[in-house]
Amino acid sequence: MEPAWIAVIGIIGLFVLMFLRMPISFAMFIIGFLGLLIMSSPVATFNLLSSEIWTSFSSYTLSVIPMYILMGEIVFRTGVTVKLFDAAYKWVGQFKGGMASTTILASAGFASICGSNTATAAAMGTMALPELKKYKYNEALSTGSVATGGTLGIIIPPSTVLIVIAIQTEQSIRNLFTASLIPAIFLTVLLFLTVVFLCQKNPDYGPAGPKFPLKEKLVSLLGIIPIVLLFIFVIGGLYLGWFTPTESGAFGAFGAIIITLAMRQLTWDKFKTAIVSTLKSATMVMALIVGATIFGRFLTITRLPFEVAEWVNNLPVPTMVILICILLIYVIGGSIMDALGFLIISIPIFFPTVVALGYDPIWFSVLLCVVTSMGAITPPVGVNAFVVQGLSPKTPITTIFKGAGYFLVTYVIFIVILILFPQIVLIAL
Amino acid sequence: MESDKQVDIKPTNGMIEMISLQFNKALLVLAGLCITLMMFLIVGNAIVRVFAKPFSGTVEVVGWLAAIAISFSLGYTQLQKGHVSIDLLIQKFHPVIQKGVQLIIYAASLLFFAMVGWQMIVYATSLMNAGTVSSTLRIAFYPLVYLVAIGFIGITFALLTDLIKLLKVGGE
Repeated sequence: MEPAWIAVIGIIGLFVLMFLRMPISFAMFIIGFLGLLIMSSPVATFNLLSSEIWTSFSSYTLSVIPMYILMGEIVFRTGVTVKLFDAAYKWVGQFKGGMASTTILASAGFASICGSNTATAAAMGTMALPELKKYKYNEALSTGSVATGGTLGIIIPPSTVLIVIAIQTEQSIRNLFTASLIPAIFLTVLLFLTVVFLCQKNPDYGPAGPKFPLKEKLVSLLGIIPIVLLFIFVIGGLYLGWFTPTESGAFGAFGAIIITLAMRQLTWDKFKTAIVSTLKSATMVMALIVGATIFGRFLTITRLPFEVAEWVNNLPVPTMVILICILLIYVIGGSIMDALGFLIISIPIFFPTVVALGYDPIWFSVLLCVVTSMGAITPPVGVNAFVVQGLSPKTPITTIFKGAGYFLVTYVIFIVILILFPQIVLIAL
Repeated sequence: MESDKQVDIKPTNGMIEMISLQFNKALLVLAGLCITLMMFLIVGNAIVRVFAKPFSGTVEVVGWLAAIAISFSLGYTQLQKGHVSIDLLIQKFHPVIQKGVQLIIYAASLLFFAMVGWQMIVYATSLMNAGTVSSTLRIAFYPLVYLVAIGFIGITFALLTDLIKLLKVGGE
């Protein structure tokens, strides 16, 4: 049988196992292993499996993942996020839809020290949902803004998704973080404007809150200074080349511990919870990466990614059409399964294709990150919507998806802008 | 006879679950220590670098600590169902089919990770026999590969627990 066909059967087998509820990482491990077994000798397969696992698990570069997760966890568990919400509310709460705008801005603030969309949605939802309910906000807008605000977690650096893309495509984490900063700010503004637009059109969606005197507004900013300083130090230090991404993550976690201790927020129990949660998330991500590496090795031996790239390159259609088709596959993939999981599986197949078409790898990586984060609020499996439902069990999932739907329009507009003006991504490099 | 069987089976199953939980929790504590140590080592080394010659083995030691932290958390993550999976399609099946499929998934995963654990032991032994040392510190690192194998034994144990739990639910 042709190696490419073995790869196709492997990909079908992978999806079958995944849809039978086998964890995505396990499915990639097993199919990758079986594929290698067919394509090469058992001895070579066993050697590759064990050495690959050891090399990946003991990789200094990959140790950046638990470090950034730990930073976000420490801040999340100690409730410092309350101060972010408070500051944002005092500045924009007085406008129509102010509480929902507050949620978007505070999510962006938290995202600057957290690389996970679910953690951002959970952190903000815990605080914002009761407040939004108190001020009688439209339920769809409330839950939708929390779920969407959470997606900023993986667009604003540090971002677990950008780290994974960088590692899988052998790019610089620093470059991807730098490139994503301006698009992230741009998207935050667009999401903010979406809330304003919705509430101008439907004033009952989000009534205005009380106005605070300037002094109180300024005082509220004092509360977020530690988080701003942590972000500037960690990401700024990375941009300036003071430290490597792993060091940046470790300093972030260390800094978060020092700050929360100084604020008398960090207790031994909270620290333990943060560590356990970090280990769980990091292990899940690492298992995905190593599983994808084994699966990727199998695909590489079959030469399928190269053949797909060559075939696509020779298609008699404009490259933009191919790019849009690939992005659509990501949107569909991200909507029917875990977006990070789909990203990890598909990068070995599509990344060489897009690069072969002549597109900039950094630009495409940021675009992928945005499309992946959109997957977190796209029905039927948008993970952030389910996080919000976990926090607000009485709200039907359809209502949350309806709310997220308003922001999906903004997301699509944003993606079109990024495609038409790649400079937005590349200007910072 | 039947009640004897139940008396026989339940404590044994309970014991396996308990051992698995305690074993994986113990590994998790060690993983927590490793990750904390990792953070202090990276930060300490970066600070020392400003004033003096840094510890040359930082990259290696951090990698080793990460390997232990991640492998030792595999089992606990499985017990907590922390590995992402897709529920979308399976939920539409009849509960009996769902259970049957889940049994096969657990059994296949269990066999696979048991084999990975075994292969890690084989790999560690080959490193030991070949006298392989690390590139910077020039020390033998095969004991750490054995530790990673223990992590895979942890996830195998966790999957065995899940399998037993699933079978027990059917028996009740």
